[in-house]
This record gives sequence, C-alpha cells and structure tokens, in this order.
Amino acid sequence: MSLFLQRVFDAMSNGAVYASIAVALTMVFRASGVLNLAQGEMAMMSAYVAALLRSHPPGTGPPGRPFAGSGLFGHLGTPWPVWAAILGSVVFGAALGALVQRYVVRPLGDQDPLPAIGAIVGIYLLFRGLAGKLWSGGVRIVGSPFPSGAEDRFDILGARLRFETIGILVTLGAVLGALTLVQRRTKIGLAFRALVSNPEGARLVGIRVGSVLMVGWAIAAALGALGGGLVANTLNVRPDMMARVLVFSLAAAILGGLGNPLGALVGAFTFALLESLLIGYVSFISSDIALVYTLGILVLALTIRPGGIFGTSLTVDRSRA
Amino acid sequence: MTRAWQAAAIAVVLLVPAFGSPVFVLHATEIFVFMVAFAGLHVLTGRLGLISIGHGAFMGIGALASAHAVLDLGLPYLVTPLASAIAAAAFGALIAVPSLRLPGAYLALLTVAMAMALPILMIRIDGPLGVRIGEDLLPPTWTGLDEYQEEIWQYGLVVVGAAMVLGLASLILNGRFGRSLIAVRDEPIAAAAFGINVARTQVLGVAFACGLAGFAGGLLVFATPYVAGDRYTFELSLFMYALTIGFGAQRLWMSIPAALVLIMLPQLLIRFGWAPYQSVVYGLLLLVATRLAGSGEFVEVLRRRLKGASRPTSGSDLTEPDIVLLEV
Repeated sequence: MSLFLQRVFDAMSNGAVYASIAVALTMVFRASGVLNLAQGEMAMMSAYVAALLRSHPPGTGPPGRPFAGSGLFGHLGTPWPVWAAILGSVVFGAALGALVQRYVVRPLGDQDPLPAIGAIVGIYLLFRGLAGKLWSGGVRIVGSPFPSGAEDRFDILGARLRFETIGILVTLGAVLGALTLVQRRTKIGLAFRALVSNPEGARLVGIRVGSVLMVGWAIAAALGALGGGLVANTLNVRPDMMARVLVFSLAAAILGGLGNPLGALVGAFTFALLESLLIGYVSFISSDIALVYTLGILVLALTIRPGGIFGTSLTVDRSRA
Repeated sequence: MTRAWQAAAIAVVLLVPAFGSPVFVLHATEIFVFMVAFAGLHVLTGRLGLISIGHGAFMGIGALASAHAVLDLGLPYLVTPLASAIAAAAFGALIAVPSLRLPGAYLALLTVAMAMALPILMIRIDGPLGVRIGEDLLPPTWTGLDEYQEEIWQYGLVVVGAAMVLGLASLILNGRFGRSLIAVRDEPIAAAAFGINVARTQVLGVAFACGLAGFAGGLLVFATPYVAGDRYTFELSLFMYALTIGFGAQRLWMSIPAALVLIMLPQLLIRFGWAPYQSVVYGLLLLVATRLAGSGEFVEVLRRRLKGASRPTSGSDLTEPDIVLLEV
C-alpha cells in the first residue's frame, strides 16, 4: 500500500509538467488549429534562461551551486533567487510564444495547417540546435523554489509526499485556475472563446484575431515555461530535457480530446500515473520502454474513441487538413 | 528527361565506383538508399497530402526486419529488402488505420511518437550496439572484384535495387492507383462517388509509402552491415521531413536532390567545422520554405524568383483576408 502510494506521489510532479505542456498544446490548438510540436522546446529555452539567471560567473560561486557555462551566454553576474529566475523565464517564454506566433505562424495564414506544421518543426530544430550550441557545457541546474531537502516531506501511510511536489501542484493549480478565470471573466478571454468557437464570425464582429492569437500563444508558452522551470530541479536543464515530456504531453492532449484543457489535464495525470505504475509493477517495463507502451495505449485509445475522452466535433474540424 | 540527361545520369552512376574512394562510394550508396526513402515521402506528402515526421522510424523497422530475417529465418541477403518493405508497410497500415479516422495532423503525431519510440525499442530488442549482419556480403567471383572491394559490390546491389523499386513505384504512381491517391486527396467525396474506397486507398497509400521507407532500410543494411537504434533517430526523421518540404514533394525525381543533400550536407559542414549547426540549417530551411511558398512548392517559388518572375498566387492568397478590423 505504501509502495503504491509512493508511486502515485512520484507521478504527481511528472504529471504537473506533462499537464502544463499538454494544456499549452490544447490552448494553441483550440485557437489556431496548429499543434505546436515546438512547445516543449520553447519551454526548454525558457528553462535555460532560468538557469542562466541563476548561474554564477566562473570561479565565484560556492562549490555545488549552479554553475555558469563556457558559452557566450554562460552567466549574467549575480545569480537571481530561484523564484525570480523562474518568473524571468516565464516572461521570456511568453515573449518567445508571442514572437513565434507573430513572425512565424501568422504570416502563413490559416487556410492550410501544413505549412504551419513545417514552420513549427523548423522552430523545433532551430531551438534544439541553438540550445546545444549557445549553452554548451553539460546540464544546468536551476534549483527548486520550494523546500526540497531530504526532510521536507509528509509521511502518509509510509509513503513520502515531498513539499516540492505539493508546491508544484499548488502553483500549477493556481495558475490554471487563474487562466480559467481570465477566459471566463475578461474581455480578452471572451474574445478568445469567440475565436475558438467561430473564427470567421469572430473576425467579422471585429475581434482582432491576430492579437488574440498572439496573446493565446504567449500564455501557452508561459505556461510551458512555468512547467519547465518548476521541474527543472528534477529534470535538469539539457537540450533534450523536453523530448520525453513532449511525447507524453501530446499523448495526454490527444487522449483528452485536443479541444479540451480539462481533458488535457486529466490525460496528463493519467499518463503520468500509467508511466509510474507500469514501471513500478510490470517487471519488463523500464523507464525507457514506458514511452513505447504509451504509444501503444494512444493508438488503442484512438481506435476506440477517435475524438479522445472529452473530444468534441471541434477536434475533428480543427484537425482537418 | 531528354536522352542526353539520361546518358549523363547513367555515366555518373557508373563513374562513381570507378573513380571514387571507398568512403565516397559508401556515401553514394547511401544517397541511393535515401532516394527510395524520399520516394516514400513523395507518396505520403505529394500524393496523399499527409505528413510523416517519422519516416526514419519506418526505415528502422525495415532494417530491423531485414536483420532478423537473416539471423532468425535464415533468408538470403538479397531478398531481405522485400521482407523489410513488407514489415514497414504493415506497420504503416497499423498506424494509418486509427489515425486516418481523424484526418490531417494525427498521422504526423503518431509518426512523431513512433520516431521517438523506435530507437528505444531497437536498443531494447538488440542491445545498444545492435546486431551485425552482412559481414559476408562479399562480391561473387564473376564480378572480377576482389574481396576488399566489397563497397563496390554493395553499391551495385543498392543501385540495382533502388532503380528497380523506383521504376516500379513510378509505374504504380502513374497508373490507376496513383491517380486514385490524388483523387482521394483533392476530392474525397467525388472520389467515393466514382467508386473509389477512400479509406482503403488512404491506408494502402500510407502502407505503400512506408513500404518504400522499409525497403530503403533494408538496402541500407547492404551498405553498412549493422542495425542499431542510434541510426534511425528522431533527428533523421525531422531532417527528412525538412528536405521533403524544402525540395517539394510533388515530383518523384525531387527525391534525388533531397537524398544528395541529406548525405552530403553533414560532410560539408564537418569540413567547415560547423557540424553542430546541422539542425539549425534544417530549421532555417523549413522556416524559409514555408514562409516563401506556403503550401506551394518551395523549389518552384525559388525558380521563379531567380528568373525574375512575379510571386506565384499560391503564396499571396494565403495571407490574411482584407477585412477591416475594428477594436474589440
């Protein structure tokens, strides 16, 4: 029992990062009909910014502290506190999302999603290549904004629930709650919902579709950056830190029905739990091979329910090429 | 192609083993292998209007099937690319059936997941170093080659195999099946009204495309006699996708320059010390190609630009419609 509980707890922080990327994917997809395969890499770039804000100039920091790289963008003088660094990375992420929407995706138009997918894969490759080059010099460390020592935990029925996990979940919950409020209560949220339900109509009643989309992309990228920054303590910051996360998040977003943030959230924690429990209880499934089983489950789920669990007709309409 | 071009092409193919160094011959062999794989992408993207961001994974499945056909079933080497094609086609159909129920981006997504999962799976099946096969792929005596010139024999095998398959693919694509693929892409409802089974045609098309990739994977085993997960990475799939977009998928023969660039670009970058920038180059290619050509043909747009003609309409009618926008 305690082992089972432990595995559930362990899944939670993974679930949080899957959820942040999955919800971001869903938001972007809902608004612009584009699956942002670079969502994870944008979060990775943001995590590097957090690491950059945290790092010392060479030779000044105490041993074992976040270190500066050898590249041009190795450090920025005095290290920022963790929360400020993560906040900085979130701001950077939002700017990145807005820029990508404005200068890469928007000029391609919305008639045909295929060029947009091409451009996004281009962004993916560009960021992957640049991150490896700009910040060469091993993994970076951000640290956790929450108490994350060995003793910072509750013991529940013999399982350890770390404060860090609780902090990540609470932060994510609060941000998602705030986003829901923004969507329901503010004018830009109303514009966003109008755009989702009827892009042509929204344009006709005078909504600035481009600006709303830009804000949507910025919020999505900021959410991804937040997820990346919060788990940077456990994942470490590397160019490929988001590769695995992206697969699970995509799977979660699809399972949740792509049009539905709640579905993406449920999907993310479902896959995180599945991953943790499969690895824990099935002897021939190790952490690397769990990815393969995730793919299998996804194919199965799509065969049984092509629209995902919470899918709507929007899912089908929007994905039509 | 005119007769002169054909003669020149045949001359180049024959001159490579005569004058090239062993490494050069190996690269030339790989170019022919990837031509077949890019032909598969032509079918998928150009004919079916679908995208695959995991075509390298299907090559990997082909290579894996080839290795195990030799090691476990004892099949002779020369027929293994067929086994590879069948295995990859079956996998393609398996992925296509659920994903084509939701059109468009889903196939791309599932292929992404496959491309990420396959290297892991291959390492799991055969260990991190993979399996070695094809060590005894030595030239027979009638060729007059000695056993140290095996790369020339392998080059010959790959060229003949690739030529046969590309010829066959060209026949199929110009025939009834190829035209039904286009009909299904452009006007699925009209195609159905004319008695084409839309779903079956799409699944068969995907299987055909993946079968070509699998065949290429099988051929690659001739050129380099080991099969391991680290060859068919997600990056390889992304680069192949980038080249498909960059060179345009509408014409089968575009797979020739695409394969050339895929193999020669890393060599070129290494020479200038820019090897880490490979993915940056492909990323920029994708950004520029999609920006200039939209869903049109990048090479076509480039050609017209270079000739000084005006921009094609396909690019300009994709911009935002001219509706007066008011404040929210």
